[in-house]
Amino acid sequence: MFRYTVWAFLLAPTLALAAPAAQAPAARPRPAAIAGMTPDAAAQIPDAKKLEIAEQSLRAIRKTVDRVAGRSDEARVEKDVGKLNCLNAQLTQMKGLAKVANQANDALVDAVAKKDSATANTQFARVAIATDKVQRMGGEADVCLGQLAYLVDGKTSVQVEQPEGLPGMDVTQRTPPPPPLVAPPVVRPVNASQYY
Amino acid sequence: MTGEMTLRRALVGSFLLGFAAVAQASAGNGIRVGGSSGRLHPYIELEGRYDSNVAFDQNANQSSGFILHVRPGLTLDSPGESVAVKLDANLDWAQYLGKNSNLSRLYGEAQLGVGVNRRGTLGLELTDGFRRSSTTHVLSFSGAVVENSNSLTLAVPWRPGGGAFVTTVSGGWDLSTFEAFDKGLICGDPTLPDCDAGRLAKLGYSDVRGGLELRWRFLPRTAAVLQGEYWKRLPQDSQLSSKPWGWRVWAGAAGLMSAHLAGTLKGGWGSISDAPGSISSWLANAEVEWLPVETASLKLGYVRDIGVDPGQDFGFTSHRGYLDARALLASQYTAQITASYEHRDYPKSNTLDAADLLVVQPSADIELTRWLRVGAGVAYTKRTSKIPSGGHQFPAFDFDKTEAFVRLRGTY
Repeated sequence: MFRYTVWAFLLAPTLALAAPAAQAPAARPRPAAIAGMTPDAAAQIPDAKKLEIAEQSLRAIRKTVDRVAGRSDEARVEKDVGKLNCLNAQLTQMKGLAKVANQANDALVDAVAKKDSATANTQFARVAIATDKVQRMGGEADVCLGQLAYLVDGKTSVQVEQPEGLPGMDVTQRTPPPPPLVAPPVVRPVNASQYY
Repeated sequence: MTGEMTLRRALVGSFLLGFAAVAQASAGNGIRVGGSSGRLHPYIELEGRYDSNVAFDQNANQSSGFILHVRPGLTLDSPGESVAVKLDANLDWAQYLGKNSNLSRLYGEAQLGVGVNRRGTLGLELTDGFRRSSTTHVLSFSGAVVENSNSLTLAVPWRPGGGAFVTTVSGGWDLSTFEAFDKGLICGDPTLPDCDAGRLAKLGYSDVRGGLELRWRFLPRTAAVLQGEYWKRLPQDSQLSSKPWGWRVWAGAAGLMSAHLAGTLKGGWGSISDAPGSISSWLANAEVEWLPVETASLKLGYVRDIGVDPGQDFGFTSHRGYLDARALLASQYTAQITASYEHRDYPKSNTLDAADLLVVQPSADIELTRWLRVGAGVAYTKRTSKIPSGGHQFPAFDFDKTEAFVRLRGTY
């Protein structure tokens, strides 16, 4: 029995401390291979792999842009101007980078077909750098929505907490306070305790 | 053995530290429920109270005492547009210290409010309040009692157009039961019917009521009101209690008189039948409230009303004056004083001609952090009565007491 008690006590703080971490939003996957990509580094990757990574990168860019665009639309519906401005600033840059990545991918496909390694490496690096930037900006868009609150339900809510002790605010709903409560003293029998 | 004890203590310490870490992360912010707008706040309140007149014996020797209250509870506030819910509930263990420790009891209180479609044309308001306490509104009891009461009200407001004219139909059910506080003894002489604990337990009752209110806001923050109410009492034992019924009608105005002055002026008429016989009287509520700033108010009022205390002949008319002043300073310090003086006339009673009750309570409250509040106050209560010739002066009819309390409340 004591052994189970020990385990319970040991596990409880661990679980308690782990709980906030479990609630934190999961980090977005970022392809480690393309972060900080240069043409020289791209030269180490086979052409077929380049095309495959570039295709994955474009899909990731589209997904990120769509996510931020969707939330921009929601902010417009909610008429949350501050959030909308913040999102649109990120979205404009992300769309520009997406265009650059698409053009670079087209050039990459051409260059691989022509077996032009130098151009392929350069264009692959452009795709990789654009992808990295878009994903970083997607993360910044989440932050500008207010400490990742958007990731939970995506809807703005305003919560007003009125401090205790304030007088009533609706001055037409007036009812007199109820009659006061009274607690008469208790009558003890003489033999109830040694003091009586 | 000693090593095992040390290990146990260490484990308990680490256990508490683990949860303290979680509590520190969001203390005071509560638990989010029902989407993003609802908040659930568990809390615990500790109160130390000195009472100068906890008890006295049959020889009228008065004794003071200390009471420690432990109140675990929770508040829920979910201000939705379609449905708004507000709940405050707590249990209250009152531990009497020293020689009165056998008076320790478990009490409790809960207030629930549910509002549906508050901005729409047709709404619904449900409120329910439960209380188990050693305090009571009844002034006809001969000694200390424990009262269990529940009040349920259902109201349907109808706001056609812009909501300037509101018609509210309401119905309610109030249930009260009583029990002797200490071992079946209410007052000194067990041979007297008023001191019989078995009889007291049968004085419980239900009140059913229905009402209609018309409210017209002829100015944005000022309204004319017309209110009517009918009620009927269903006693637990009709041999020991009368079966009164009655009605009230009020008319008047309530709201702002100037930018910093609000008030109520209502008058009316009310009648009670079978209390026993009939009691009719004019009714009034005059109140003025000064609001110098948004965080301070001073309210002074007067109420003339009628009612019935449990029993055979306790229909009454009452005059009551009240004062409520409060100020919130620097969003952190609250100072408050409440006072009330009530005089009740029992025109049909053979036990009690009149009862007077004075209660004055100044208090102060400090919000140390978002999750921790401390408060302290003093309460003075004086009860006097006028007894008919040949009547018996029961303990609860004439006493005074001074209470002082310190309160600490931690809210998650």
